[in-house]
Amino acid sequence: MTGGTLLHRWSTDLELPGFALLLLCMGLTRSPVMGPVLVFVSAMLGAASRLPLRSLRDRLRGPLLIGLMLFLFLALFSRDGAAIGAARGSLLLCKIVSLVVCATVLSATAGFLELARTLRRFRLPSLLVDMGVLAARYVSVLGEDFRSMRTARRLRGYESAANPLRAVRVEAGLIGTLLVRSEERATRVHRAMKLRGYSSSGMPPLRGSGCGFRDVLILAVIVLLSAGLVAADLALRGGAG
Amino acid sequence: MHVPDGVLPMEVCAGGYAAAGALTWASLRRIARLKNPEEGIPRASILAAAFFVASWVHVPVPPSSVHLVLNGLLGVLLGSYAFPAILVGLAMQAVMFSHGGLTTLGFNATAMGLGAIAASLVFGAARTGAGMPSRLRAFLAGAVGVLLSAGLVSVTLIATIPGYLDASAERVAVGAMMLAHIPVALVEGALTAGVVAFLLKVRPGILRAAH
Repeated sequence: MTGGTLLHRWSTDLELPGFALLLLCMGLTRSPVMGPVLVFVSAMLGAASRLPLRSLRDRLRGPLLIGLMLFLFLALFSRDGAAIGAARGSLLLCKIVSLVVCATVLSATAGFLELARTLRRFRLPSLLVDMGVLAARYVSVLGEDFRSMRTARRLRGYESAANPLRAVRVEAGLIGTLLVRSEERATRVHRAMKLRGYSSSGMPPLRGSGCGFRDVLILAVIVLLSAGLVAADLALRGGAG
Repeated sequence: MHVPDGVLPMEVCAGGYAAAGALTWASLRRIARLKNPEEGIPRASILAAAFFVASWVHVPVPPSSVHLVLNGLLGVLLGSYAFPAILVGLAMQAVMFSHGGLTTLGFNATAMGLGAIAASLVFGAARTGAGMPSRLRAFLAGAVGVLLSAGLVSVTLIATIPGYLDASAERVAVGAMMLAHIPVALVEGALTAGVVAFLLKVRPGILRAAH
């Protein structure tokens, strides 16, 4: 993967397990004091990957809404009292923010297709990887088809109505048409794949993406960071207990 | 219905991945027994992409609107390929758009996939039964798919929330979440019935390929 930052240039073969470990360790924290630490670590990673703030804000909106609802629920209905419920709720909110930011950093610096190739190198069944690659290839094509069909429908006066029953009938026709078009496209793709000798079972395993000293060094930093988070959480919980 | 990162405890996320692994293994075994398993790969992939696109549709349910899940329809159309297609679709949504999450991918796939499998069974079993109209079978399949997934997500979300909750508040929360999904299930059922009726008229082969 090429890109401007160290995280973009980090070999996905090491980035994927590195981030998986970090996400796991962040998720395992229990002490409310660790909340701001998790947010700080994820903010540093976000800054290091130069994530656009706008995209991060868009990606955080939905999860934050769920997090706020759970925070209120915990603060209002916890059997241990409002203060402890609110403390647990705030840790939950911090975890949501930090995990979403870290997952966004991983997806932004590696990309879906590169992650799929890495998973194939990690011996994920090739049927799943091939499905992922094909679906990612066609999602924008079908999205464009879908937008054109909706525009054509609007221009012909078939506006989706406020009445749910009528809206369902109109949308069912649209989705049905999209499925028929997708089926036709799938038949053509299958013929093309057969002509090129495709066989999901006979594909040779992909070669590694090549890891240098710098890649191993970044992995070591992430592993140390993850271990540090777990150790600090255990120490805080021990101190509190 | 896409649980984001950070909401579920890691133990539940790990359990979700284990369950998704088992369901994937079972689906791949069923696919391997098919006459020409490779034929279904482009079909399932492109239909997974089509479902992803179709889930952008919002249907008005006063006073708000709901976006479609379509796992029941996916089960009806893809049969054995439904679970891998859902797993792939959710992975794509999590990586490309942060709908759902990477740590919760296994759980989300299990919840939505079980709904799709149930829908496929409901549609297939009713098909062999005595003359139930295809629209009704499709309606049941679409509604069952969403209700099962919503039930799994609601119960897990409330039962695994950190800290001890007041038991009556827990019950009320699960009940409220299930009630909120009833209009969604009705819309999904009606839409699945509408799409199946459309496909039976225009391209019945799509339905025959799955069942």
